[in-house]
Amino acid sequence: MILGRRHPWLGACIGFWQMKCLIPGDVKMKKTASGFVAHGALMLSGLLLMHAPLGLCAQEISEVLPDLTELPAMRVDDANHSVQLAVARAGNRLVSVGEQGIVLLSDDDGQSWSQASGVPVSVTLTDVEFISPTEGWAVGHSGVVLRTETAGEQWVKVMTGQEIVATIKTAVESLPESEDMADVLKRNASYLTGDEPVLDVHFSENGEGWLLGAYGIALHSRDAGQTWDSAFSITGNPNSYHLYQYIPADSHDGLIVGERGLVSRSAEESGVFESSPIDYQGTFFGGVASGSDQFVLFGLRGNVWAGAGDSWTQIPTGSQASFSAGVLTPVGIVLGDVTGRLFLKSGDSEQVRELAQASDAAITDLIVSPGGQLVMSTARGPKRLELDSTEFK
Amino acid sequence: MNMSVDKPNPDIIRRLEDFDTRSGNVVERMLFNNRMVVVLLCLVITLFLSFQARNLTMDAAFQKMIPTNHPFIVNYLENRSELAGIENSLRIAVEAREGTIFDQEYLETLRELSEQVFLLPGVDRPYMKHLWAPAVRWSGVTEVGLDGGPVIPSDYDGSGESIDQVRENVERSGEIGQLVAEDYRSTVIFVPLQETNSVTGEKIDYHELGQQLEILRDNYEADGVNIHITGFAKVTGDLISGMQQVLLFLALTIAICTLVLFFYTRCLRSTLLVVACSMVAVLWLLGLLSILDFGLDPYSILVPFLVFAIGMSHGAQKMNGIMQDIGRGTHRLVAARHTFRRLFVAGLTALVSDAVGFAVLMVIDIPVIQDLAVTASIGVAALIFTNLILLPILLSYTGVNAKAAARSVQADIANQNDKDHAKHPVWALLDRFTERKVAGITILVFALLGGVGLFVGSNVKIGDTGIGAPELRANSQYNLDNKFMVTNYAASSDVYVVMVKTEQYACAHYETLKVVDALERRLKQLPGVESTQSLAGLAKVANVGMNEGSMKWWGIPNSQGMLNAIVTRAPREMFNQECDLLTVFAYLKDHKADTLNSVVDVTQEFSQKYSTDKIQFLNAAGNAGIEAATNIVVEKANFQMLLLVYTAVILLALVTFRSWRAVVCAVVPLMITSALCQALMVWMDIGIKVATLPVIALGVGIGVDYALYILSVTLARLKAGESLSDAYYGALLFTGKVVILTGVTLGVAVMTWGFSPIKFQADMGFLLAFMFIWNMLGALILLPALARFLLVPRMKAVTS
Repeated sequence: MILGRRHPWLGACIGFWQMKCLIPGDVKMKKTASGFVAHGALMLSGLLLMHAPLGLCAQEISEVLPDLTELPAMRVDDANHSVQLAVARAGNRLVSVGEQGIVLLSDDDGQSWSQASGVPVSVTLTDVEFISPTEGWAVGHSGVVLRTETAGEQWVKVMTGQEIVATIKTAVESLPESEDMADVLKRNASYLTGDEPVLDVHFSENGEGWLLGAYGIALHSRDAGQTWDSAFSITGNPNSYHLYQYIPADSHDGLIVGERGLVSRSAEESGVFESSPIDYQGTFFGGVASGSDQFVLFGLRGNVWAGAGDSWTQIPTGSQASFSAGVLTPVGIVLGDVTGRLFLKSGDSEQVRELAQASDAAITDLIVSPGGQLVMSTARGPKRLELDSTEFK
Repeated sequence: MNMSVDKPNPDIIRRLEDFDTRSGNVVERMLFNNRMVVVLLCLVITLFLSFQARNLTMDAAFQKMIPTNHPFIVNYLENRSELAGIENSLRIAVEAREGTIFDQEYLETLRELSEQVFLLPGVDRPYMKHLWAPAVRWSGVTEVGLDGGPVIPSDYDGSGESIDQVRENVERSGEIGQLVAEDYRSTVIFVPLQETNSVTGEKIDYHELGQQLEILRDNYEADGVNIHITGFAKVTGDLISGMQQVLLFLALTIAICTLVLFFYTRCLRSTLLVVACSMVAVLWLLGLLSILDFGLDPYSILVPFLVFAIGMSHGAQKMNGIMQDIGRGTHRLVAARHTFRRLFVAGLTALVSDAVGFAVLMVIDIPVIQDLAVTASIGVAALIFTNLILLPILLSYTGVNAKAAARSVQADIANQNDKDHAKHPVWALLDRFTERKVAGITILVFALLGGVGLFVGSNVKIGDTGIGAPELRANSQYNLDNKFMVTNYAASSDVYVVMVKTEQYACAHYETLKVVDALERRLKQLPGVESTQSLAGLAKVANVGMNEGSMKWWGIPNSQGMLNAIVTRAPREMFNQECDLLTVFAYLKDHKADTLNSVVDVTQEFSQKYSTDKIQFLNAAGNAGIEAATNIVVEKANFQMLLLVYTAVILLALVTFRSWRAVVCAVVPLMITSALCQALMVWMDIGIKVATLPVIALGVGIGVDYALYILSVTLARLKAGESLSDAYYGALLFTGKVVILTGVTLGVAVMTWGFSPIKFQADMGFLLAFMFIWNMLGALILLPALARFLLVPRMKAVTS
């Protein structure tokens, strides 16, 4: 076609050749005076079409776009500025996950990132965690659960929402009627469709694993993810609120936080979580354990609460923006909010103060890199901030 | 071309009584024996058509600038009524000259202005948006759900606290980059328009709307704010104002051409007659257009210039013949009849060749160019009557200035009497191009120029190369306003819209949005795409918003209940009422051909792959979509047109000369000029577009006249046994002056377009002036050089 564009005569010939595909078979030239005119018109239309794409000749093949849980993630030129939702350490590597199944890898402490090629889904990935430098888990929308053994290069889909919900429904069905709240839980479970996003994945060193998500979906594993049991009925969530995070603590007791002031702590021995009373009805998006079983919870409209699990006190922040990320660093707990600002609660201070406008988009996760830098995932890609201790004073 | 060689006329008839009024052909007898009837008839027609011309309308004819039969445009027009609010809206940015928008005076000015705008005709009032509009709200997440209210609270009282409240509301309104500039120094009044008034059924008068906006601009700029206005309606208004300005240039053109002609003839009365006859042709044209219900658009408004200039050059030729005859002593009536006899067919042929140049434009599938072709053809037809018939008859009454007549034949008489007299320096210089050595060098130089032209010209771009509204100049008020918008707001002036057809009520199905999102992702990958917008993208944002702002929900919710809730809040430009049409907007960096092609390619590939009977992806709406279709048509038309115009010119020359060698002499200079013209377009950064497309057809169609005049005389003299030098010199004396006169008047006429505020008119004027003047030079310089090698050996063979 390039030839045709540069050389009109040649283009005309190409035009004629292409017309073979364009004249329907049943149109025949009449050998009349008007036929002559028609021939002239065809000649013109041949010229007109000489730049038409050859594709006109091709048989139209249409495909149905597969479900996003079946569609391998597309390579994206601008992946480094895509919506990224969580970041984790895999040995010395950093792995960030986000929209469209985009997984980004960094081997230089978060300075440069490249897109992993082996992601079998295109759904939004919401969380990632590694249990060894090579073995890790990622979760996302439509209940997708992925597993890697190659430090984030290649991923295998191990579960989808359908299986998660089936596990939950089976477990809830078998609850004895006598059990507290059994009918409520059964009704809640019946609303689940399998399209709910998983919002959090966590593994403890002893191989205990948690998957938490929307409308109260929750799975629990005791064998490092080999098998999963329903935890739908033990999270202390009779209202089917969204569960945003499992917060591990040094001791055995972790916390689960979620929608509408949901804070649950595991009771000794039984493994069943009980509501931890807190004087706030807004959503907690997460929390950080700061050693000695002290937790800092963060959430909607600048809310930060501190406590050990049995009682909570609000820490004033002076901000109306929701906090969406937190991490424990050598200088204290760093929090990130949806407007891209960083805050610090240093040591035992009962104050949270603003540090910096670190991003122009929402900060979605925070981590301290192997080299001691503060790395964050944001709605415009991963970002690294030099963790200069003087700045934190 | 029966142009006879001007030899000393054996029948110089000094007294009218000696002339046989029954001589000449039937047409001549009919016309000249009833001179008064012809004159009166023309007068009546002129009066009638001038009267009709009053009703001639002007419109910007945007509809006509698009190739209505291209599949993209067919798709667009089919769905046009469903695509409400895409293009026909105005944005008025009100910029605080000092400080920010959070100022009592500023907000007061904004309120007053928005009330004034509210009252303008054609405004779709319920959908107007600005800070004071109740529909512009802030919203925020609270523990119990979403909270919100108008950005300017109902208890606003202009106090400091009130203004602080406004600032806080603006920050959480989501309008930053939309209605409020990122630097808080300006806000936008968004004004959707209704093409037709729903009550009266009247169409918007864009010109009047444009003028009312200018009045508002003047009034409020005095109030300490700057006003920037963009939108289709404003471009249209500005174009119509520009056209009225262009009509003023017609007066300038007439003045300059008159001066050139007077300088050439030194005869006032005949100069005025030629001007008058050419103007009569223009009046007839305008009157006929009005009767045929054609309006003037920014393209066809240029035709009167061309018709006038062509009329001037042909009129000058007639006048020249009559003047020379009178100079030799013939009576004026006889001189007129003899000239008519000699030149009517020649003039007719030349005008027909002009008309061929115009007629070729009919094959281009863009209405505005077809209208241009029709308009120009009507104009040329009018010239046949006014300048080939009326002018000689009028001259037969008035005669010419005796001194001027004597002067006109001086050189010729000198040439006849004394072969060795000093030749006029210009003619002598041109004559040298018939010498073998000079001819060789000339051909070499032109070949080189042609080569360079072809090489450079092959890089000529399709489409527009600038930014902003391509119709207007880069430094026009409109484009400066547009630049302000692009800099301060998340808005692009180049919008490409893909239309997605679904089954009824399926526009918000998850399956639909999933595929739309996939298309959006592919479009976003393109370097020329700055951002995209669709219901799919909105669903992701809304999903986050409905889940308390948590980014973890970023994605199209796979839940129909949630999607339905989102659709009820979605802006109406994203889908239609029936919910079977979605729009995907791609905001482009520019509207250059490469950018547009990349978007077209991606969309077409995607459409071929994923269109089913349930969902189809259709190109294209939005100004960039229309431009993409136009580019495709223009690119095809360019070659098609070159092919046709050259075929026509070659055939015409072949019929006239009956010698392929002569055809080569006539056509090669034109081809080199065409190649150079394309190279010039590359250098001047002018792309091939609707406006420049007609230039080559017009340039070649009119340009071949020069070769016809010069070559026919030269050939006749060569046949009579003269040397090439003598034959060419003779041709120069007889028609050379007229050729130069034609080149200059045409060049001047189109060059005045260069002052037009409408950019494409300026581009056309510049390129056409180049074509006319280079074609003239080609005919005077390259033609004799080619003749030296192609015609002379053959002539020698014939004579020996």
